[in-house]
Amino acid sequence: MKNPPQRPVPVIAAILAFCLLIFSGAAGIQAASIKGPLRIAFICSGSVTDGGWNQQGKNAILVVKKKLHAHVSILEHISPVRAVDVMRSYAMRGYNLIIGHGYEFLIPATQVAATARKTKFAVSGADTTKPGVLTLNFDLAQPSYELGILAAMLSKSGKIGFIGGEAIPSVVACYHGFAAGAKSVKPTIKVAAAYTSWDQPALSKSQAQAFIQQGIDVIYQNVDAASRGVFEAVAQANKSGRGPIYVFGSNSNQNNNPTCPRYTPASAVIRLDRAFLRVAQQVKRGTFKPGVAPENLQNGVCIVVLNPKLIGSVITPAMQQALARARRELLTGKLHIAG
Amino acid sequence: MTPSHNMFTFLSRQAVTAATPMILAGVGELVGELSGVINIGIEGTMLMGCIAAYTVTGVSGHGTVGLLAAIAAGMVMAVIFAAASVWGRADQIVAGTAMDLLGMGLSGMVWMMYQNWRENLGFSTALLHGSGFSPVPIPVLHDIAYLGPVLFDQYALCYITICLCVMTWWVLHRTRLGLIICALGDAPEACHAAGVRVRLGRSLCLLFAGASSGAAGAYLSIMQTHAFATNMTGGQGFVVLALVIFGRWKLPGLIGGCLFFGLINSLQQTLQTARYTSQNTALHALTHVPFQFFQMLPYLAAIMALAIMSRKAPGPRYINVPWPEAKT
Repeated sequence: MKNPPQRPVPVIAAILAFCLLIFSGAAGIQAASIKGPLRIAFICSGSVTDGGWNQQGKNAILVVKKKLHAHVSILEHISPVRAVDVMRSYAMRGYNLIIGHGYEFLIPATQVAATARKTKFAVSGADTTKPGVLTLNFDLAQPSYELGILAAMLSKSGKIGFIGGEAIPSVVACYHGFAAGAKSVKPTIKVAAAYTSWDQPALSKSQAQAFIQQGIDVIYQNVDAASRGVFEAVAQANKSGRGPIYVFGSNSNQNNNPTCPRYTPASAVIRLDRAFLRVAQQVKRGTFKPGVAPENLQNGVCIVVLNPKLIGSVITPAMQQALARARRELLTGKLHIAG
Repeated sequence: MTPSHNMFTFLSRQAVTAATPMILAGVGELVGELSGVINIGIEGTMLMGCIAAYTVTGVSGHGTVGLLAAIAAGMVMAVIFAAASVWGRADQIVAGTAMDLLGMGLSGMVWMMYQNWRENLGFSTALLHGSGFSPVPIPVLHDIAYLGPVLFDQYALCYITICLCVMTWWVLHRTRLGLIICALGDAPEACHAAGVRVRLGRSLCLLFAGASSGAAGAYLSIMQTHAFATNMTGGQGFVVLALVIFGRWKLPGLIGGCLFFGLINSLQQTLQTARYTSQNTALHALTHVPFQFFQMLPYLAAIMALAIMSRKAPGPRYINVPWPEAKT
């Protein structure tokens, strides 16, 4: 009779002990604060000169650099396919924090985070939990709701419109918020929606012209670099006497755009610098935790900024009161915007 | 004027506005292809025209100077392409792809440098008020019913494009020069035998194409929008390439194709809006149609038209064939 093979218990125990040691070490590293200057990599899929989302991200990361004296590396035009290699390379070079600026970086960040334990990963504009990644869920639906109220009160035709760059969840949420806000004031108001492009001002302009031709007199745009086309269409329409036609800005404060500042009463603004700074500080202090970070009206990251030059003339006290009431309800959680 | 009449006028006007840069770039590409050189780098050349026009207008404060800069930028791109494909005998498709990539990258880089430079000096990167072009309604003519707003209330470059089309048609069909251009693409040996310098002729045609593509870029950045955005042409250069084939290498066909594309595009944008705002129940039912369907329409129409029109398309015989042909 053959003896049963000897179980390699000591070997398994040794491997287990080794793994535990490694993981405890990794946990120790995760919790430890960073002594020297923070090393941050910022990756985006478009150009940092787009005048919109990516440029705003670059500016925000430069604020972090200035405030925390961090070492910052910015890489633009990175496709999600390339992102895995790029992120892995940064992690291997000892970067403390990698920020993927956009929903498209969620999967690449998750893949790299699984192996690069010393580096922290944050993805802006995403709304789902992935292991090892902090997603910054910018809730522009709340400020969009406020803009909807303003639009309904400004509109004389009873027709308002939304132009988005792409029908991704965060942009569609803006439309839903905008429509809900408008209908809360005027249930019969008609809210059109169209999606064009992030980087074709000509296309956005012709879409805005189609809106205006159909009688729409307040337009809310979220098209980044292409927003200049919408502003141009609104300026031309007002110049030709079709007005007043109003337009709202988004993501950054576009109230003082050079094309039609007199017809831009408000913008839905994401204070990216606040969000990035908080994440960077968490990494520096060793308090960074993966998960979903809601960035909204409550923590002051997503807000409505009114054009101070139009308060009193275009934006009446009644409008301001209605906005303040809605903001209170949103802040206290009395009001929930259905997606 | 009835609402439907109004709508028809609006759609037609939008179609002409959208088609103008494509026609402008297309006329140049047509001449280039007739001479035997296909330049798939129009997109990159248009982008260089966009950025050159925008930055020079921003600095000089004069749109005309910006337009000239765009034409110059387009010609520089054409010189590089001609050096590679006509004189260096590189494959035209490969060289054209390189020109596309060059234009996309270089225009973005110039834009970034321009922004940094202006911001360091404390200036806005937006065009100065009045330095870009606005539509120029032609007195009396723009009052003509329907045709007036459609054709005579456009940007200056639209009128220049109309003149350019007439001149190009006349040159191609009524002059010896036109005969030589077509012969460069159809029978370069005959041209050579007749004492025509084939490579020089092709290079000049490419220069014309570069200038018109550059001007088309200027139309987008300092006329239609007064703005620059990275890759703002959005594939129009590639659509032009398709429309040259759609038009069977004939100018009227090319113009018709561009107008058709512009019309379908403005129609889809209006439909996207009307389904929400119109009282018409049939239009209202379209709210359930995904917006991507509407966006697809111009491209679908272009593909269908290409499939139908390009059968037995009599293209230049020596297109994408270097001169002199390589000895085997």
